[in-house]
Parts: sequence; C-alpha cells; structure tokens
Amino acid sequence: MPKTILVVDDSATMIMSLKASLEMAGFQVHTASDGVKALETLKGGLKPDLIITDINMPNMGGLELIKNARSLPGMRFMPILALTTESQQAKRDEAKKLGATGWLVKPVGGQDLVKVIKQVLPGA
Amino acid sequence: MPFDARKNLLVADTLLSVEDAEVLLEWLLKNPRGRINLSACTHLHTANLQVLMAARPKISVWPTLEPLAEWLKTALDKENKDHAKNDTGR
Amino acid sequence: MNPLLDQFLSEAREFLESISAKLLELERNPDQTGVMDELFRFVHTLKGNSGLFDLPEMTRVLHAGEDLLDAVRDHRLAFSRALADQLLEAMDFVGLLLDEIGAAPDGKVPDTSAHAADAARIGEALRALMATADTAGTTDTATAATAGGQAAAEAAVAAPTDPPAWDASALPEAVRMTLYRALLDGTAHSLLIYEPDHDCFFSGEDPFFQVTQLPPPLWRRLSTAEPWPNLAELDAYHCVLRFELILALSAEELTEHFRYVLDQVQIEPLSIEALLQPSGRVQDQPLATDFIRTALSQINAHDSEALAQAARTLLELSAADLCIASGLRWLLLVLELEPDHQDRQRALLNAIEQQCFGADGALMTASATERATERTTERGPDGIAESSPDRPGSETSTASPSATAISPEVSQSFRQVIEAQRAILTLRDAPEWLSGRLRSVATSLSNAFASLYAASDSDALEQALAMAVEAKDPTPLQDWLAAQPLPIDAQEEPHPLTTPATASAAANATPDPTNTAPKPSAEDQVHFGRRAEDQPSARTLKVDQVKIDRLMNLVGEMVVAKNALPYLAGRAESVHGVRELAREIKGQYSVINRIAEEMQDAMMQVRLLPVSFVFQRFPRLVRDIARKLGKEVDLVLEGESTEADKNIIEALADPLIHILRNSLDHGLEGPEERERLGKPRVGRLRVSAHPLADRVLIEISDDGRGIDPDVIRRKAYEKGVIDEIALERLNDQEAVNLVFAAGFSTAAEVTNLSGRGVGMDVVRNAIARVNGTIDLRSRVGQGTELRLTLPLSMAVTNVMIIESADQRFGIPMDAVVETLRVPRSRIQTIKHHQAAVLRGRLVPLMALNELLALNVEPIANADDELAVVVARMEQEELGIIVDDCRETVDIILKPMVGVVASIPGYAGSALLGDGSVLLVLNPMELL
Repeated sequence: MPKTILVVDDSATMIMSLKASLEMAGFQVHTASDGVKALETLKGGLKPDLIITDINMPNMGGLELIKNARSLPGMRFMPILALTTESQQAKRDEAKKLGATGWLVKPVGGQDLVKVIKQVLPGA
Repeated sequence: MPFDARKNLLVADTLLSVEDAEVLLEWLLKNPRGRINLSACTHLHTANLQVLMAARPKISVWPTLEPLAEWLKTALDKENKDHAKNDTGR
Repeated sequence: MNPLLDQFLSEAREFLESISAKLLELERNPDQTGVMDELFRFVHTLKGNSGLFDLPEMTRVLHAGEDLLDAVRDHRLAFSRALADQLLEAMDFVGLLLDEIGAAPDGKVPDTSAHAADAARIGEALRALMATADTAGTTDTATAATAGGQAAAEAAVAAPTDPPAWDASALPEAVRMTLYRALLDGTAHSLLIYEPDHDCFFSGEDPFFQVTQLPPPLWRRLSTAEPWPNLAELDAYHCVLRFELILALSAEELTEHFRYVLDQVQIEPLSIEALLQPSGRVQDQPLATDFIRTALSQINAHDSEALAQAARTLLELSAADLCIASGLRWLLLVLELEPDHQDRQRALLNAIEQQCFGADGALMTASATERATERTTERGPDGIAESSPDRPGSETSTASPSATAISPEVSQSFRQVIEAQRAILTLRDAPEWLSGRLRSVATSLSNAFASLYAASDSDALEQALAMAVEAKDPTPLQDWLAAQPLPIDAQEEPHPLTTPATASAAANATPDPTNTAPKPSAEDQVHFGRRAEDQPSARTLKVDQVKIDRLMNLVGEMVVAKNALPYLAGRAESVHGVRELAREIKGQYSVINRIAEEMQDAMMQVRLLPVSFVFQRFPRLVRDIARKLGKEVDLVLEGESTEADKNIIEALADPLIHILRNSLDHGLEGPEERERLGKPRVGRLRVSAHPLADRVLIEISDDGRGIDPDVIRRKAYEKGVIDEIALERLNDQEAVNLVFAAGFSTAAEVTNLSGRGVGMDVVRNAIARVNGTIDLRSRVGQGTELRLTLPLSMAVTNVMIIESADQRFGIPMDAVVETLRVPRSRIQTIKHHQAAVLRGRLVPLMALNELLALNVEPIANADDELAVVVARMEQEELGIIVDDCRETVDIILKPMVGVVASIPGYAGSALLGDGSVLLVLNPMELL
C-alpha cells in the first residue's frame, strides 16, 4: 500500500512541485492550501502517514496547524515535517516545540525530498 | 492488523507501528508465555521495542533482516543482568 | 510546455501584484501588523518558489527583500517610503525577469545571468537599508533569543546537570583496540549517545528507526533511564531508552543525521588518549613494580625491542583478566603501531601504575587516588544491554569497583554494591541456578572488599561460599557479610539507596498505561477506508483563457445555429406544406432557445471579472506618478468587486490609466498651490465602479483645478479644431467636451507623462469600441468628473439589421435611439450638410452609403420617405440614412481581424442564422 502524504502550502507552485516529486516516488499525495483546509481534511477522516506543511500561510499557518493536528485523535504520533527556508531557524525550533518531527528546507524536491521522507517514515 | 496472533504465538508483519505497541502489550499481558516470530519484520517502532524489552518474551524467530536482528539481540540480550530477566525466567 | 514553470509564472505575477498593493497599503498606514505579515509571506513564498528553478538573480533579490521585511516585521527597522521604493524597484526587477522567462521558448528556464549585475545592485541596496537595522541595536539578538532561543535557554539551564564526559573505559578492550587501529588509519569514528525525550513519540519521532538507519555500529549499548515496571504498568509511549553507539562516521555526518533531535543527542569524536586505558581486575602483581621501572628507562633509551620482550614475558605471567594484563596488551599494541611514540608509551605506563594495583601497592600516589575515585563514581545506568561485533574474551570488562581510598562517593558506591548483593541474598526462592547466583554474589563481594581493603579476608569468604552452595542457602554468605567492617563514611551517611528492588517498587506507582495512552479509537478505523472520497473539493478552477474563448465561440455558434430553426419551420410549411412538422420544429426551437439563452448567461457569468483586476494597478501607478510630479494624492478606490465581461475589463485598463494620468498631470495641483487655494495639501482622486442596470458605471473624479471652458475654446480655436462661429456658439459643456476632439491637448506644454501623443480622443474611441460611453463634467477650481458606462458583457450583442446599397449591416442597439421614415421633402441642406427636424430637434443626417464611400444614392420607399436610424454619438445624435431597417438579432460579435481590422467604422462581424456574414457598424467611428 503506498504511503499517503498530506502536503499543505498556500503556493500552488510549491504544491505542484512537491506533488510531482512525491508522486514520482510512489507516494499518494493529498493537498490543502492552508491550515484550516488541512484540518478540515484531517477531521474529514484522512489519516496520512505524513504531513508536510508550510509555515507562512493565510487563515491558519503551519505552526497552528501542527498544534491543532496533534490534538486530533489518531494524529498523536504522526510524523509532521515543517517546510521552512534557510533563514527560519527560529520557526523550526518553534515548530519542533509544537510537535513537528522535523523540517524541510526549501527549495526541496526530487531525491533529496524522498531521502528526508524516508528518514522519518519507516517502510517508505 | 499487522499481527497474526495465535494462541501463544504472535507472527509479526513487516512493520510494527507506534499504535501496534498497545496491541502488542495487551497480547503479551494475556499471553505471558507467548512467543513471537519476527522473521518478516523489517522495522518496529521504538514503543514496540520498549514493550519487548520490558516483557522479555521468547523470540521464536529473529528478523531475517540482519541489522534489525542484531539490534534486537542487543536489546534483549540474554546475558544482560537486568532484573526483568529473572522474573520472566521463572 | 512546462506546467510547473507556467504555474510558477502565473502565481509569481499574482504575488507581485499583491506585494505592491500591500506595500502601498503600508505606506498609507505602516502600523498594520496583519498587512505586514501578509507582505512578508508573499515575498517569502515567492522566494521559496523561485528556488525551484535555477534563477539565482531572482532568488538573490527576493532573499534580500525577505530579510529586509523580516527586520521590519520584528521592529528592528521602521517601514519607510525609501524602503517601499527600494522594494518596489526590486519587484519590478522580478517582474522583468518573469517576462523574460515567460517569453523564453519551449518552457525552458532561460539564463538570466545577464541581469546579475542588476540583481547584485538591487540586493545591495536592500541590504544597505538593513545595515541601519543591524547597527540600530543589540535588540536584534535579544528578539532573536526570545523568538527562537527558548530551547537554547532551557538547554543552558540544563547544562550544569549534564552527565560528565563519557568514559571510554565502558568499552570492551577489544573494541577500543579496533578503534585505536582505525583512528590511526585516519578513519573518523564517533561516539553517539542518544537519549530521546520521554514524550518524543508524540512529536512523530521514532528513535529506534533513526538508530537502525545508521550503518552497523562498532559497539552499541541500549539502556534505560529507569528499570522496567511490571508489564501491566508499562507505558509504552513513555520513552525511557538510551542508545550509545560507536560508529565509523564523523561528528558532522551524525549531526546531519540527527539534525531534528540535536538537543537529545551527544556526539563526541573519539580520541586515542581516551581509548588507551588498561582495564580489568585490580590486583597486585609482584613483578610489576620492577617492570615499570625498567620499562621507563627502556622507553627513554628508545629500546622498544627490549620493552616489548619484557612486556610479553610479564603478560605470560599475569592472569588475562587482570588490569595489568590489559595494560601490557595495550603497551604491545602501541609498540607495534606507534613504536616511536614514546609519550604515549609513557602515558600508558603511568596509567598502569595508577590504575592496576591495590590499595597498599607501593606505587600508589596521591594522583592515583583521585583517579581511582573518579572511576569508581562512574556508574552505568540500570538495565544495560550492550554488544559489539567482536566480543572481548574477558567478561570482567564491566566496571568493577576498584576504589582504594574512602571518600564519600566511594563509600556510597561501595555500599550500593554491598546492598545489592545483600538484597540478592535475602531472596528465598531457591531456583535451580542458586549456586551460580551465590558464586556471582561472592565474586562481587570479593571484588568490592578487595577494592577497599586489599588485605580482606578472602579465605573466609571462600569458605562461606562453599557452605552456602552446599546447603543451598545463602545464610553463610549473609553471616560473612555481616561480619565485615563497613567504611566509616558510609555508616555516617545513611543515604537512601536505590537498589533495583526498591526502584521497581517505586515504579509501580506509575499510572495505568491505558489512561495515558488510549487506544486508537474506533472512529479512526472506520474513517480509514474513506480517504479517496474525503478529498476536499476545489472551489475555484483556474482555466486557460483559450479554453474559455473556445467555449464562448461554441456557445455563440449554438445561438446562431438555433436561429436557423425558425427558417426551417418556415420552409417546412411554405415549401413542403407540412404544418404539423413546422409546429413541432417551432416547439423544439423554443426549448433549444431557452437552453441556449441559459448557456449564454452561464457563459457570461464565467467570463465576469471584477474591476479590481484593473484597479489593483492604480495605487502603484498613482503613487509613482505623484512622486515624480511632486504631488500628494490620496487615491480612493470603490466598488472594486463590480464585475463585467473580461474583454470589457481588459479594454478598460489603458483608457483608465490615461484618465488617471491626466488627472494627476493636469487636474490636481501641487501641494503648495493647493494650500494657497485653501484646499487640503493632499489631493483626492476617486475611482469608483457600480453596476447600473445592465451596464457598469465607472466614475473618475478629482478635486483639482477643473477644466476652464474658455481655455478650451481658445485652444481649440488656435489649433483649428473649431471655427469662429463655434467659438461663439459653444456652451461651456460643449466646450469642455472638445477635449475629446482628435488632436487636442490641454496642457500648456507637453509633459513626459500624459503628453505621449495620446489624447482624450483615443480614450473615447477605446471606450466606444466596447460600446461604452464617456461623459465629462468639470467645474473650474473644484475638479473634474468622468463617467464611463460600459456594457456588462460583449459576449452577446443585440444589433439591428439595416440594408443599404443591397448590403446588410448591423448597428448595435445600444447606439440606436430610434428609427423612423423621413419624407425627403423635410430634409434640409445647411452648408452642404443635410439635416432634419425630428421631434423638435435638429438632427444632422448622413447617408450610410456616403459614410462608407459607396457611390450609390439611398433608396426611398413608395411614399418617397427615407429610412433613418438615429444613432447616439456621445452627447449628439446623428441620423443615418439607410435603405431599410429590418429586425434585431442577437449576435456574437467577433472583432475584425487581419487587413480589415484597421478599417474604421466597423465594430466587427457576426455569423447569421442563415449562414451569411453580417458586418456590424460602429457609428462612433463612422464620422
């Protein structure tokens, strides 16, 4: 069974890029354009194997999403990676404190992306 | 469910997830003499490892995957002087 | 075709629009945190996206912009006009690059390195603004610390309680020897201690997975922070593990691997010095003293041959598990691998001397006491499990107490050992391996007491052990233990001792695991299979415009095709005489007609676009122009959500920009002049849009100087636009309307802004082309207002079909005021111009044939009446003489293309139901 990943980013370009890389690597990808929509999707019953979320998003940012997602049933142990940029060390720490498993540094795609995911997702 | 739990023998699937630790623990509580076949297992979440280390069940077959087997043998080392071993040995 | 690049370009353009909008908003009111955050997010996201492609110039500029905005967001830097200028310029640069990328063939990302110098310059300029922020304060670091440094602060607090440096003596000698060889070969090796947070699983972490992904370690140990509780009380989700590994990896590689949990790991490079330690049972070796003395002189004499020989001899005489034996093996290895490293050999001899002998050994020195003390206080955690690929022969390598002097620490650890053994002896279970257990206890006690009192009564212990084994009863050993003296310190300080037994009892108090870690609820399981259906549905769809246009054309053809049905019905009845069929066709027609109309309507809805599409450029435009002119303007936009057809909206852009330019350039006064006139310094420019029945009304007004009709009259006369008579006769409104006359420019001198050879006539024509009207009102000294009305949609146009010179033409009904028959007798000729009084107004008349340069006379009807279509031309009316007026039809107007596109007078062409092509006139352009 392919692993399912929920990608949350407000940029359609970033979503497209990540989706392409992930699908190429055999993952099943779901997307949401902000934290609110991602939470809706999760509350709607999607239980991905991994969540990748951007930090800066309208309506609900990544940090709040991480906090909220962790309190949902069945999401306690899910790996969550925050999408950050080189300069966002503080955000990374904050994301980690709120329950993120780790982070990705943009731009990320292709083999690098898959490598990081395999590091947090057993059996991927 | 990634287990094939029969009477006193549990055959683990390839992956034991974090949630499976709860199930594993319950099974071991119900079957204190239960043996575990890990041959197909390629990874088990740390929570499962903790359950195994605390319960010290008999491993009927170690994982075929050599690095995992090495780790589990270290974790569940028979030579280890942990007091838990004395309890299970009785 | 590169979908990702296309997506990037279209999204990037949206971001640029939003960025400049936000910048202008902030310029008006810099204290809007929400806007600032959004602005940052746009730049940040755009930068992130640009990184997906090889666009170093763009990324560089955006990165600098992002950093700058970050500084503003953190209040390290104040938002200023200069800052906005710099950022806007940067975004213009990005826009330029986007255009270039968009224009590149085959969806390839072009090389933009030609702009490297510009990128560097802009980046520098942005960073220069930041320099002020960085010098502005040490607050910089302070805020950074509060934002992200809490973890660091906690770590700093935790630092004093960190465990002491790891002791390599925990490693089996064989592992250390392998490592020694590897390190000499130059292969990096590191020690990793990974103690995951107790609640790390709740962050999605799986420490065991991280560890198993590493290459097989040279040595590993897995221990727990606390002993395992009874299984029923185990909380599997409370992580208590501690991993220790030695790996052939550099510290850098390990740091990278554990980058997410660096606060939970300790990574130490391994040094040879730490490895070279004798380990094993401490016992005096009578020959050792002599050996060490000789060895030192041999080292000084560089006589490694002799030294090695002596060491081998002594090694043969020593038991393998003795510390001295271990030391000798090390010495031989060093002599083999580093024969010239005398310092190391000396250090090793020193270590043997200090660590391998009992309390009253002749060689004991003060420093040796300290050393021994340190070592004894090293306690391994409970529940240790370790392994290494090549297991050492000696199993005594696990730290055995070897203290010699009595310090509080020593006595405490000593007592701990004794208490543990005493606890074991109290067990009354008598298992089969009791004798093994008793032997093990005796060995531990022997070692413990030997470490404290070299001359301990080992014979008595042996005896007690023999008795106990024989009797299968630990009592003799207990008695022996009771008879032994305990260290004074230990008696004086009755520390509560944590033996495994008491610890496990304490652990029983841990809460029920089922409470802290509930099972996955049934709900989770149920939802599991619903993934596919649970996708959130997309609410908006981005569709290529070409596809919409195609759909619109098809709808148009459908509308036209259905118009053929009434013809067909007519033919069925008149030619074939089947009336029934004709009725059925008409019935079907009404159904198809309704659907077609709905389709048209739906199509129109799809094509609707808010005027904000055009309006959103205005703030930036107005700002830039105003700054160039040194004017201060407050731009007010209203009704931005008013919608109209895409083509209309797009056609609006240029005329509106021109109107705004005119207002700024000619209408609004400079701030000083305004003050002099008693007006507010800041001028007001208002652009509003409202729906008005089936049209859209757009008003552009300013509170500037207005248009002086006298000035216009004089100018128009000077330029030959009007003659003397008109100069006298024109009322003020008519005079003001002269600005729309071709070739008219009101500015005293042509400025570089609006004086681009484009006058208001061009604006009027552009508006007229989409069937719009323009109306200008002005009051001197108070301002000017322009009202534009535009149709909501161009998709379907209602036209009247007229005939002239045996041809059919269409005239948009929007322009038609009325149609009537005028007797030829009532047409007067004034100065070569024809006119007629219609309903009390004098309406100029022109024959369509004449306007179209068709050299044919209009045809009158039997009563010698001429058909006249009165068309609205701005404020005036024109009577167009045609041969005949026919029905009105709905058509899909297609603009003229190719060569005919440049011929004035035509709005476009349309296909009629009978398959013929209808040319549609544009009355405005006819004159």
